[in-house]
Amino acid sequence: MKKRNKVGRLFVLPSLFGVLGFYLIPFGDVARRSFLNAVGNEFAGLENYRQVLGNQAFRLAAGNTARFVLVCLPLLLALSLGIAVLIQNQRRKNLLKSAYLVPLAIPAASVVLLWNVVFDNGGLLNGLLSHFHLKGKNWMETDAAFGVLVFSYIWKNLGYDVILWLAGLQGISKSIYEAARVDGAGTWKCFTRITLPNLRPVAFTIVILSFLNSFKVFREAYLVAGNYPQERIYLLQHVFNNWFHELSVDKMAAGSVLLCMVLILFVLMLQRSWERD
Amino acid sequence: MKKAISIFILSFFALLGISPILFLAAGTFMGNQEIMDSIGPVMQDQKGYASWKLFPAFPTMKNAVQLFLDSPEFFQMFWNSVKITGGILVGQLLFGTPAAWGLARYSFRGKKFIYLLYIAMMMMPFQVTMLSEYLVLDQMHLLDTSASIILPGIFSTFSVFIMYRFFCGIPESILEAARIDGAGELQIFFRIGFPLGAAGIISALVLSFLECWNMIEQPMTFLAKKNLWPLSLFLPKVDSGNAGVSLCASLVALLPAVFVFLAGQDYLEQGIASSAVKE
Amino acid sequence: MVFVLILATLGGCNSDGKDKQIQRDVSQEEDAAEKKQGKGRFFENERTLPKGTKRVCSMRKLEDGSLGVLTMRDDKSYVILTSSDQGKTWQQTKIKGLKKEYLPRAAMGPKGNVALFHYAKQGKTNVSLVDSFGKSQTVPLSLPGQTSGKKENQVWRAAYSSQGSLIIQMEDGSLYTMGEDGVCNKAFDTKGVRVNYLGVAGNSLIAVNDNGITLFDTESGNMLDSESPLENLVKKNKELAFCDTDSGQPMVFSEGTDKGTLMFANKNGIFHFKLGGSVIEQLMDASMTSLGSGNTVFYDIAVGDQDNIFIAANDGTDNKIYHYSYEKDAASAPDKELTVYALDESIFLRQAVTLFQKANPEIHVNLEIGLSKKDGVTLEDALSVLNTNILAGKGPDVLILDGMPKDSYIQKGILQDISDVVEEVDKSDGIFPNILEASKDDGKIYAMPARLIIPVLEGDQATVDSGKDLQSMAERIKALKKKGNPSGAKALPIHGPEGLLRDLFYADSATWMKADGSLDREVVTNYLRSAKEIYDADNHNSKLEDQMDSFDADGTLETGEKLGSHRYDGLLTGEWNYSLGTLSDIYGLQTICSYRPQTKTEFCLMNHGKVKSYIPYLMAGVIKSGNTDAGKKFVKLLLGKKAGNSDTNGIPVNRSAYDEVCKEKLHAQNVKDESSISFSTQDSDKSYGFAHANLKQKEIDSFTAIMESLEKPSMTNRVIQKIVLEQGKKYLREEQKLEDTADAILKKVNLYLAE
Repeated sequence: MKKRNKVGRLFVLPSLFGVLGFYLIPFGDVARRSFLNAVGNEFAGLENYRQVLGNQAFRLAAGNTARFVLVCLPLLLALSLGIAVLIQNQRRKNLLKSAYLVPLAIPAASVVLLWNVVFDNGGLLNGLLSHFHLKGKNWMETDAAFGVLVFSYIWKNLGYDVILWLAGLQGISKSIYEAARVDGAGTWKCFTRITLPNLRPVAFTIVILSFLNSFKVFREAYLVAGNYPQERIYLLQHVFNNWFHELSVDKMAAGSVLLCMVLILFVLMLQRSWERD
Repeated sequence: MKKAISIFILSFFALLGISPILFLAAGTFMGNQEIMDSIGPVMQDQKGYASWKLFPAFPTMKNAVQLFLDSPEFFQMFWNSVKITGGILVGQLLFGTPAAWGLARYSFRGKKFIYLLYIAMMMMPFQVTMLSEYLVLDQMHLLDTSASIILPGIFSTFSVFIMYRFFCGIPESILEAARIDGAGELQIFFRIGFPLGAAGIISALVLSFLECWNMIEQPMTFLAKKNLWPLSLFLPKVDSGNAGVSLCASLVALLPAVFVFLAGQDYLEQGIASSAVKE
Repeated sequence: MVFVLILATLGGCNSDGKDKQIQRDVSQEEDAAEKKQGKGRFFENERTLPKGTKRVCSMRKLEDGSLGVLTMRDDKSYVILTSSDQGKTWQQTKIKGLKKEYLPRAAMGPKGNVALFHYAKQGKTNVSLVDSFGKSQTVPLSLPGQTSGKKENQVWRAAYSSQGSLIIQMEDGSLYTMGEDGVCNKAFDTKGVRVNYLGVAGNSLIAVNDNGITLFDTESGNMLDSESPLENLVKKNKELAFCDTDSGQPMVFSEGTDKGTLMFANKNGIFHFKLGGSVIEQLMDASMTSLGSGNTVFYDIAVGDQDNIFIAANDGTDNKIYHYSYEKDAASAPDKELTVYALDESIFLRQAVTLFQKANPEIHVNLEIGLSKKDGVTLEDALSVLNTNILAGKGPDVLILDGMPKDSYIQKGILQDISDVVEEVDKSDGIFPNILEASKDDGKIYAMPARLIIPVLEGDQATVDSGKDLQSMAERIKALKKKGNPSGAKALPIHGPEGLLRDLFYADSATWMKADGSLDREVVTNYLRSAKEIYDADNHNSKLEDQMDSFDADGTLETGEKLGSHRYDGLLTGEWNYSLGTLSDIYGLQTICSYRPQTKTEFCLMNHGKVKSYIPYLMAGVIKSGNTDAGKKFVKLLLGKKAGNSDTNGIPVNRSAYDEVCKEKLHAQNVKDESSISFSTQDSDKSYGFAHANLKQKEIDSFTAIMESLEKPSMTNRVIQKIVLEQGKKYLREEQKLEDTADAILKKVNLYLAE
């Protein structure tokens, strides 16, 4: 037993080495900097953390990022699950699946172009609305920008999650359903009592992946609206980026460490709730 | 009725999904003038609204020709992307797969800790470690070389995570049987792990491919020389001079990614299905 | 024994360190060039030419060993100069028998004889051959197989071989040998390749074409074997292949000290090459000389002996003869390094760097420009790289803070307090005291501008009176629009929206910050409103406007010349009733004063009723963790009189330099000849123009009064400027309402300030 497990360690070692060099050590440097001043020659203790937590811009960004995740994640999960269920029983499944996957493959630059064309004040969406005599909005410069961001995220990741759910659904054997049907269970009961519980393991993966992707929205927001976008889409990465431009590396480091702690907490919580199974 | 509604909903989203391709495809065959007329209101602050036609009124092959015959930088960037992505995927196969296997099938001290660490690293947005990574790469004299992108990419914990879950799904019994037959751990890895986990490995590679093909922050920060830049950084400026070519370029840029994803789609499903069996 | 060993090891380590320190990017010839290791190198001096010399036409080492130079004087007479003491003193021989006119081409022969070529007229070119005593004889040039093409085939270049054969290159690229009687033989078969320019070294003719260098024997006319290092030189540096200046060339050649060797100079330095060899040796790096400024045009090179090299060149302003003497005991390469970093290109900065390098040969100066317009690098990318380097400890020593987050850098404590340097300059030359005070930050100075630019408004008296603040300006301009123009022409200039916003931003932004560090919403709203009124009064043509915006950008040309945005052509044609923009040199002042009587306009500092603001340009700061001694020295030079004494890239902050520049404009001769402007518009064929006149003391005095009254710098923060311009443009183009625009600006800027 023990010997075998030692071998296990060997399998992991090369990768660990690389991760250490390219990820852990840099992060260690970040953590170190969070206790120093910007230039790195004076010890600052917890001052940076205090500054970061009290910083208006940081708070705004943190709030926006949190709001974004809390809105998008459930929305995406529910929507993609719904669609997966619907697709399940269709013919032409593969065609549909392929169509859904396309958004994920589109490079950011093209997405940005599309965003501009559709959501700009003189863009396609407003044009369409004016056709129906509805008043268009300045999507990118008002609070509606948040909605645009959410839409963009969901549009991109929908297909991805649908595929994953589908895979999970396939794994549930039909016999269970038949048995339940025989017992007189309706569609809803089947769904909640059979489907959902059996999807738990996949769900964990999907939640983590979708969460990961939610951070990527920054790319598009940045390419479209620059460093100081509309209030509602001003995210944590904007703050970090801008701090870097102003040489406020100390705040950036402290902020990063805080973010890391929150993320680890989140993952731990997720793990625990899953392990309760 | 119910069926009709479901079909409607499904098609709606499907159309939404592929609309960009249609947009780009149409634009590829439109002359610059037509493009600017259509989306001038957005690009050039003209009054009015943008519009788009699905089928160009005056189709032309000019853009495709210009892109393929006249833009050496585009191809340079294309091959850079291929080089970088290829390098990373191969590396992930070599280093990441064993790591995932080790984490999945063995238990040793610190395993949970390492697992947690890997997930945490996976989650970090780039900005967090940007400066420090830059300094580390500088110390290693890797800056401004493709290696500065490829090496960190190889050790990205994302693919390890994906493969880990798939490897978990392999029944221990098969391994036990092999051990009883006298197989060494390495042999087990190659003869059983690889084949059974193939779906998982391929899905991880497919997802990684997408990550790499669309990388933006790393090349921008670590690569100064423009001739090393990958395709994802080809940010086309759509103005009257090159609108058509930009759209064409975008189309060409996204096709490989779509291809890979569609090809790997089945493995993706299989892989996830198998992991759903056990956790 | 141990002691010696330790010394030896230390010595070894030291030189390693030195080598590592010097990681500069030497010129492109590095792969083919060998640098001299060890001790000894060349130092540059300038040789003075006799007073009244206007141009250097040709230069060579004569048969008797003296240095010969053919010059043209101010009065267009020609003189042959000879010197036997390495250019310290000159014997003059006037050339007799020539009319006083400009002769476009000349060449000097080994005996001190000269050939001067006249302009081709009706297919005939006259050549004046002069002996070493100055006696001249004019013969007509006759080419074999004379073609009667419509375009005059001018003599493009000419040179004598050391045997006295005169070789000429015609504009069409063909080469001939010309005899004493003007008759030419086509002695050189270039095999159809067009020669761009040439040089003669001894008996070798060096013909430079698009793809390389062809060598000929000057006496026999035979093509010699090609030398691959020379071929590669031209292939790798395409700009050396083309000669598009009227006089002067990108490269000049001469015989080396030994037979069969070649000495040549170009913008990368001075080089030595043995024919038949495989390596080009670099004798001097251009960055250590005045030749590297990028604007240099070469006339000739002459080699006195191996320790003395002469180069005749024009550095962008004047004809000069440089003398390079070899000091064998001097260190062969500088052991200290200074890096100066700026985001934008600037002629002034380059000149200052060259001056500093020459005055401090033991320091190697590196000028890095962050945003070269070719690459498409954005401001953010450049700043990211810069910041990363600073944090990694590899940052520059001197920062030109224009466009950078200056306040952030000060706050983070990375900039050195340079009050002592500024005070030194103030004591010796004087600095405008108001500018000095305004550049203080908490009593200390971290960033001192070397130059200034001011926002001006021009128009009739009523318009100028309204220039006291933006609102009354806008009112007046609205009224002007109503009045229209009696001649029926358009009454108002076209401004690109960004350009207009930027010019008004420069005039107004000094008042925008409240005491608590946030933006004053009302002030910003008023600014926007005035801008819109002025913009609306414009004649609109969005394509033209976009063109103007992209051309103007921030007024810095690719060459680094900073232009003021103030235009006057419409005032002259009568199309415009007013003009506003920035004034960036005394030449601009001179222009205004010259045409004022014609246009009957006055000018004033824009917005002077609210705040007298200026735009600080080339703000220099020294980084604490860098080479602060050298850095401070450089800043001192940048702010100093010598560097400041040029009328480009802004108005000097250095009082002595300012006075000098103004004085030059009081008494310049031949002002009328050299700088009259005339142009015609697209619509009509009528031509408009005015003659430049020297400045009058009165005019200088009133301008000085303006300079002395300046109070606060405009906001230099480019992040804020970008936000204002972006949003403001939307408002001007009516895509957004005033309130929303002000909101957006306030929110974004406050976000930025909160970070």
